[in-house]
Amino acid sequence: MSAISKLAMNDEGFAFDPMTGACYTLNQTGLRLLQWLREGRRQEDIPHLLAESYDVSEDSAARDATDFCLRLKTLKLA
Amino acid sequence: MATIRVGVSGINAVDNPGPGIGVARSLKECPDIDVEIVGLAYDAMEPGIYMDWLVDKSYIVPYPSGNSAEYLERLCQIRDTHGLDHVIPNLDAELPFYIKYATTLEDCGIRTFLPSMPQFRLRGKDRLAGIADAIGIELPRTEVVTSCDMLVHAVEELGLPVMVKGSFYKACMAHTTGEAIEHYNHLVAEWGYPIIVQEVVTGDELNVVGLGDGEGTALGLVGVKKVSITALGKIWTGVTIKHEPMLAAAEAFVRTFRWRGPFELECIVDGDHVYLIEINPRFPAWLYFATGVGVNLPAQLLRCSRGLPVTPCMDYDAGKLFVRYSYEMVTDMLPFQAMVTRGESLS
Repeated sequence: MSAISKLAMNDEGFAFDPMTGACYTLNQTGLRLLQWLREGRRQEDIPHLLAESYDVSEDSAARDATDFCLRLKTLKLA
Repeated sequence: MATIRVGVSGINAVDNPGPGIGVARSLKECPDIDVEIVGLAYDAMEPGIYMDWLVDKSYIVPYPSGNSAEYLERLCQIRDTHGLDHVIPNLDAELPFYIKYATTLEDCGIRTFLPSMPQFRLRGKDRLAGIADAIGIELPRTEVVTSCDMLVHAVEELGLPVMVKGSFYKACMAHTTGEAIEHYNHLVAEWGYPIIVQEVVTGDELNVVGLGDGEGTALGLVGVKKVSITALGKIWTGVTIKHEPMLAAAEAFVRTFRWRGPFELECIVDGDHVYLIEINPRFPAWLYFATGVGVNLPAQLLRCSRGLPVTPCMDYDAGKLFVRYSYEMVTDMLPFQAMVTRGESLS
């Protein structure tokens, strides 16, 4: 099981890692993005999903998604 | 069931608290064991003496590191005059005495539930490499030194910064060789030889409190992360976690070494790397956290020690929060006077 699927999350953007005890807060976009990844969506599909859901270009969404995924990697969650 | 009179030390619920109050509270909250808590204090100002809702009767006892015969005599006197069926020693300095005289105490009708002397020595800071290896976790690169030349050589080998540790207490970080020598001299003067020099590892500080039955079975384990600590490095807030590799290591420790009694495993975890930092052969001061999440280890200890039915209790939820707080009480001078003049509380 991947680290992000083990996270305990609520709808308000609070996430808790039961293995390390780390807590995270996400904004609504981050929360949505994490939910997509937990549902098994591929990282390359995220920009399109973001552009569809929010009023942003796919290029801008791609940059944000890459930043977010890099952050997950830094936190050893991806 | 008859009341069990349990002696509990470490009732110094101060800024660097002993585990005694957590032990007493856990035993009092156990519905199937009837206990009376006998506080064993070294000073009339130990707050536990005045917490009469948890500690039923308190006595001043001599320091165990001094005259053992005197300490033994005091325990027997308490047994004769009040009753003392079991003692749960909670302070490091007491453990060698209680382990050494476990049979003598049992012959006097006072039970303990502790590791053997070889087990106790096994988890000394200078011997942790063997344990880490046996339970499948890592030990930060470590050198055991007994001279200043060895220390300088160890610092060169490990690279700065390093942790300089006394074999029983205290650990200081050194960023220069000069600082390492300063810590070395201070620790030798305070705690003697050997001194442990260790590479600095970074990561999350995770701990496990547990209890072994002496036959290889863990009767309870709870993993926690210290979320915030005091200036003295003591936990102030924490959260329960389920770090499987660390819990598996704790279980392997009990199984491999047939550990008997309470213990606390201190680790630093960095991703997949679990580093063993220390093993304390007693309950930690935050022990009540385990009780609060449903794993009452002092009650398990008492059941096991007294031959009552006992089943391992490993079930707890991750994400439970521990919040310590400070509180004040006001009482008369009488209890204090009694402790000072008679060496025992009024009740």
